Amino acid sequence: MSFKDKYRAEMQNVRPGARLICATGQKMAAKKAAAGKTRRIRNSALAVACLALALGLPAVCQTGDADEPAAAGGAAPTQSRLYAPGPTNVRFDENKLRLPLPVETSHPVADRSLAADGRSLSLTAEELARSEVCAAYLPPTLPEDMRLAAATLYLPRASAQTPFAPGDSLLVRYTDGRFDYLTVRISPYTAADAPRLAEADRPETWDEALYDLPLSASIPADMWQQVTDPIFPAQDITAEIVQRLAGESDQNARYLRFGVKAGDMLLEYTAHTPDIAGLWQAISETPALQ
Amino acid sequence: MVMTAFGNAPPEQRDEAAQTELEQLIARNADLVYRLAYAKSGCREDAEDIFQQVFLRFISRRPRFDSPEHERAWFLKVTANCTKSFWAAARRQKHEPLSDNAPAEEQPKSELAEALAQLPPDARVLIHLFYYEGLTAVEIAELLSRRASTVRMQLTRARRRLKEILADDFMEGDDLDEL
Repeated sequence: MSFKDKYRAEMQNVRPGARLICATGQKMAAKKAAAGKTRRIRNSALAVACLALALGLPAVCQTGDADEPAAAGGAAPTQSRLYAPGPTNVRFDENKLRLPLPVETSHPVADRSLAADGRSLSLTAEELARSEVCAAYLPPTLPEDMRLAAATLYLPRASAQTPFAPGDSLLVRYTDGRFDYLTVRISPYTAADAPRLAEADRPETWDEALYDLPLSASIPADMWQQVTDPIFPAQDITAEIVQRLAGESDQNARYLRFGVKAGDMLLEYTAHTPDIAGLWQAISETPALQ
Repeated sequence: MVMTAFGNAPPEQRDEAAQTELEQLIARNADLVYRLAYAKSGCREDAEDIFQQVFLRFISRRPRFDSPEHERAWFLKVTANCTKSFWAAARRQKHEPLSDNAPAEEQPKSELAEALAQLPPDARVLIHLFYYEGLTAVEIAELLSRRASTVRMQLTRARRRLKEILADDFMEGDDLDEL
């Protein structure tokens, strides 16, 4: 008898017991059921997430601006929001997304009931132009090649009756269609903005260029908000300040960001443009800043 | 195939069908898995643990088999891997000394089993795959992710060692030409 035959004969007697097979079958069935349950929960969660994303997507995609604070109910922007495709990549049916009522020009900005779900409301150029108060805070002329790209009204507290309550904002974005843009955010000035209020005659309160790198080490802590994100009273802002904020750069386009307090409202400008003079002209001609 | 389509059937029928498929799967592969696990461990308790690990791994991975050969190869490979990880884990465990009341070995081992027990566990796996499952050195190499020449060399050494242990009884006509 060969070794092979002996070995085979030996191993023929080695077999799993019935109890082992039964126990294994039960464990497999239990594990399979648990895996199916987990999969169902995961699929349900995915479906809910997709639904939530679909509901929240219009506000994000129509503005396409991650700078804007949370649009839906004041919630912090999530990763899905930040990475949501921009308006150029997504095509929506405007008639389905747009709320059915026209904008009320009697309201300072728009009829709050239009955004009764507490979400954002996109305005067309005509709707924007019809609002007298809006026009008061927006530049009547624009830097060369700039055009209106989007105007979005954020009303996170739709139930409130006060027009333009704290937290409300109107974001208007102009672009040259390529890389340059100007964004104007209009919102009520609140006490929370006070630490950012800079003094025009004290450049150390608003000119970042006066500080050495790293800024976190050189800017005093109590001046951090002023220097990094300054707000100027409307009567103090000048062309020289805007020019200094834009800084000197070998590159054509400059990036700058600052706010202007105009009465009870705060106008925040974020711009990327080589035409600083044109930018200042546009800002300075804003009726509310006259 | 393990997972057949019964998607349109009522849930109860689907559960029953799935249970039947699991039972059939175990029935098809139980001996194959258990024997290889036993060949390596040389111990029924360890073989039982490995046996369960292999089938539970099937549930985790949910492989799709193209053919019965594919299914057999998957179970052989996973069993070999499970025995490896089982032994690695077992080596890390602290062993309690046996008490005086510990049960004695259930059955006396045969001469062949005693001889096999003297081989390294990896060599026993090679012997089993070669002599019992009928795989060639190339197939074993593929299964265990080794080179065929390495498998041949290890098999030669294992056979030589067995020949020394079993002396005259060892395999007449079982030379390595089959490799």
